[in-house]
Amino acid sequence: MTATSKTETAPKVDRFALLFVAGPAVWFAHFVLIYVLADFGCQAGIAQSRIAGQDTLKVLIMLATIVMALLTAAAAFVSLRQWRRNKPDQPDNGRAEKRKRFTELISFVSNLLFTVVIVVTALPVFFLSSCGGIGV
Amino acid sequence: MDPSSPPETRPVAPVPYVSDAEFDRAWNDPPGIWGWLTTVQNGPIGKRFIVTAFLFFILGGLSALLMRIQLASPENAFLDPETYNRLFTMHGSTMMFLFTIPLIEGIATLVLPQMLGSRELPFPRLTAFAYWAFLFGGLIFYASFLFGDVPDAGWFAYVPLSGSEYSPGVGMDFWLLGLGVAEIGAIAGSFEIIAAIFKMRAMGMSLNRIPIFAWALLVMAFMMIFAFTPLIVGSLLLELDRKLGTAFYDVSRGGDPLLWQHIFWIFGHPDVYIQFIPAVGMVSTIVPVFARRKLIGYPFVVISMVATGFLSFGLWVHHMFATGLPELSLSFFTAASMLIAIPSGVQVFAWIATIWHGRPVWKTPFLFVIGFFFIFVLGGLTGVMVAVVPFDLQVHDSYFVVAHFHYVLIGGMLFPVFAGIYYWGPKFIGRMFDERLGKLNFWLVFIGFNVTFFPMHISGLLGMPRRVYTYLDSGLAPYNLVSTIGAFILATGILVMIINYVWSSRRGEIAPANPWNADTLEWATSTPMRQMGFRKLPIVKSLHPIWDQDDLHQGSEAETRLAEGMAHWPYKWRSQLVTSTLDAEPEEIIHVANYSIWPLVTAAASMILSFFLIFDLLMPALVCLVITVIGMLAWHRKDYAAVTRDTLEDEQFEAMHGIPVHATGSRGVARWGMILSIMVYATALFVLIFSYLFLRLNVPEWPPEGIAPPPLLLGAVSHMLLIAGAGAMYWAARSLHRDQPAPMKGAMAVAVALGVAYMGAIVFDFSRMGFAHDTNAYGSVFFMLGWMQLFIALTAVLMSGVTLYWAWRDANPTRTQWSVEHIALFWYFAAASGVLTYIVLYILPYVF
Repeated sequence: MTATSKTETAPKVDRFALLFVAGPAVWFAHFVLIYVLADFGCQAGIAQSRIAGQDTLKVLIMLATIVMALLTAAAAFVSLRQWRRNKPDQPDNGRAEKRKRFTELISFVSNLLFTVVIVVTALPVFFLSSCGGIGV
Repeated sequence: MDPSSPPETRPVAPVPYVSDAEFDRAWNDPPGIWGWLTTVQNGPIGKRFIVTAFLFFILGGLSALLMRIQLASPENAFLDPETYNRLFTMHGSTMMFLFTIPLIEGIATLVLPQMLGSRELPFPRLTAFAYWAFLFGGLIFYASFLFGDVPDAGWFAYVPLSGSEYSPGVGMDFWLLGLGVAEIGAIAGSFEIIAAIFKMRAMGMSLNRIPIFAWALLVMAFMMIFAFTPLIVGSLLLELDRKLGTAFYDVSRGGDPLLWQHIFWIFGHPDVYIQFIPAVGMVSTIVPVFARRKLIGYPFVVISMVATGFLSFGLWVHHMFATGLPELSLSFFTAASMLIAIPSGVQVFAWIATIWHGRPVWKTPFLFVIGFFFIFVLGGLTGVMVAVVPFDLQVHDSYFVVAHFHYVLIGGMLFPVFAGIYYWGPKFIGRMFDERLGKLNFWLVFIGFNVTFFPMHISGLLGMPRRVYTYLDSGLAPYNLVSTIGAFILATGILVMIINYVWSSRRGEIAPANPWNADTLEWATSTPMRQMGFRKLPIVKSLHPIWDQDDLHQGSEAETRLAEGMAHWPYKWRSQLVTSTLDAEPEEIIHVANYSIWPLVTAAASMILSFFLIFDLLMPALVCLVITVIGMLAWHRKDYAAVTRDTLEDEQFEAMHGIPVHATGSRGVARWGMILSIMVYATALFVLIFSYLFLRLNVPEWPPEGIAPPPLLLGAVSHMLLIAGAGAMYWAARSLHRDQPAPMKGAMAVAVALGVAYMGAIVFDFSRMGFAHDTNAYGSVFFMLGWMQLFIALTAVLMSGVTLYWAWRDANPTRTQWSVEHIALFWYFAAASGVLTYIVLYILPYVF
């Protein structure tokens, strides 16, 4: 076997290859969840009840936000750790190694971005009432 | 030949040398009109997509000009209100459904295979069907003019305006069914794009070496599946309300017009990004070529496009800020609408940095890219403004919004697409465009566009409402007159483009193979391009193979030999290499489909079916449905005659290169085809479940008074049968892998029998429910969801039944009928969707 073919040999399984869609997927789940909570929580009367003196609806939204943001932050951390473990481009690095560094990098950026997006999306709970609005 | 022997000692192919003429024979279509009607190859189909979309663009543009003439002066009587309503409906619908998406699909069809270093798209007959469905869908839509009942409810077709009460004629039926057929074509096109990018890349083109335009198309294609499917379902519900008396959107019977708005905008907002993302993919392709520098931040641009694609599904309610939803809900959409500026901004900075560090060459494609920067950034800024609820409420339904979305759509999509046409055009027409006409084209379009749409910001802020055929002279006249003048300058620019195309395609300078010194693989083919693009397949070792590689056919020992081998064999049929999804390593050699009349027959039958449905002619419609199904079965029939039956050659090649030859069907590509089909079905199912829950939450009592919850027992038993059917298909797939034909066929027969029993039991159960689809919204959504599940089961039964028939006729079914393992996947999905449907329809009314 030649040197070229050796460097082009790829491992078959890469458990982290699709981690870059974890952030967007978790964000979407969070987004739908808090939208449904906010929209129908008012109709169902959840906003009128209290937990520790706080509006239950807002507490639920905040809890969902914390859990989901922790998930994407963990995915970002795992991606960063993997990326730092793999040495930067070396002459003997093969196709699969270069590709792995790429997917790990975009995975880190994606999960970090969506951690921010999840937190910012939920920020209005600190400024707005649960059930106010035009025509409500 | 011993496969374990060193590669250098093996011969490269069973056939020593094949001439170009011999090799081309399999790829050439029949001559004359028959060849024109039956071709399925990406080249001719892609060109047809582009030309047809451009013709629709001209029709849409003409309707815009007529509207601008009407609005040039206050209280003008050039158009009556009814005609004006029809024109803005036709303009918006044509541009959104019949121009932008088909044009991009056309460019993708034309460019993608060779850009990936491949010979063809994975499902060529589906490509042909996609084109014919788009053409016929557009023709149905425009046929409304012939019947004197043109749709007039806007491109968004809000209910109740689009319902039978306020749109009683057939105009809206033309809109719903015509565009429905075109959308099915669009989804078919997305299958092609995804499967091609995942499985048909050049050897060595791992994920980090995929051209940026291909990444953009990949994101776009996934978005199309998740956005267009809800629209098709929503349109179907509206058509059922109009034709069969269902009550999805009828308030008096428990329905809700807001359900349409939700479903429509779940499609409608991502649709903007479906157009925008491939356009920015073109920009990211063109900028480095004309800046003479590699794109800065490639990984960040890739993830920005992926992030934009996802975020675009969280913006739909910002079209519904004035519908009375709670302010907290609205604020989430405001946040998401602003956050999407982050990935868009990342791309803008990557382009600026690339140009900054490069040495720009100011040719026409690059001018259109610079025009895009200017216009799109302005549109993006007003986008952030209308994302703010109080501001949006002030400008809602005013010309400010018209200005905003034209800046986004024309700036964000049309300018890059024009850049793309000038960029790739020479490769496909064989001649260079005239630069002087190109620059004139750019400046007329750029100036005309800004003169038309910039004043609309001001007239909108002054209170000019959208979709109203005239206005009083209250200071709005000068802005409108300027806009009208601008529209004609813009139209002149488009005319110059057409003249440039016609003149250059006849008299233009002969185009060299790579006139722009570009970096991607399509430029490595000859000009004019041969049908299959590459006879000898390229091997990629860089993101910019033409710039970085001295030899495009030199890779590892094994891959170099495989490329050499495939340049000589198989040559009697259209062969294609399939590679692995992550690292693009060789996986199998497959036969891509030959020319066929059946895609055309299927699409034509679908069109005629729609016509009969519009006019309530049910028996002829049924006949067309049968022809459609026969057409689909016929086009999937294995093309044995075109494939060498000398399996000795297959085995010889397999032994030489250690890669399987699947001359009668692919494993990897077909698997993706099935996964994508499941995604479409699952999305449709989720839209219906969403509709069920949405309608349920509107009312305090569910089922409504006088209707008992469905009895549980028979439904439960029926679904057990379906699960058992999935189990039988698992057994069939297992037998396939163990090379046991008899148990495989037996298990499939059991699955078909169980599927038929399931459907029979469910139909019987539905017949004794005591309410009907037109009783109220509960009945409508109950039966619609139930019918959807029956349709899923029917699909599973049909697929396994037909494959069983083929397996029975085949001497060696475990080698040729790989579809069994994919059909098993569909059965697992059918069983899971059955359980979910049972929970929603049968159990939920007892607990919620």
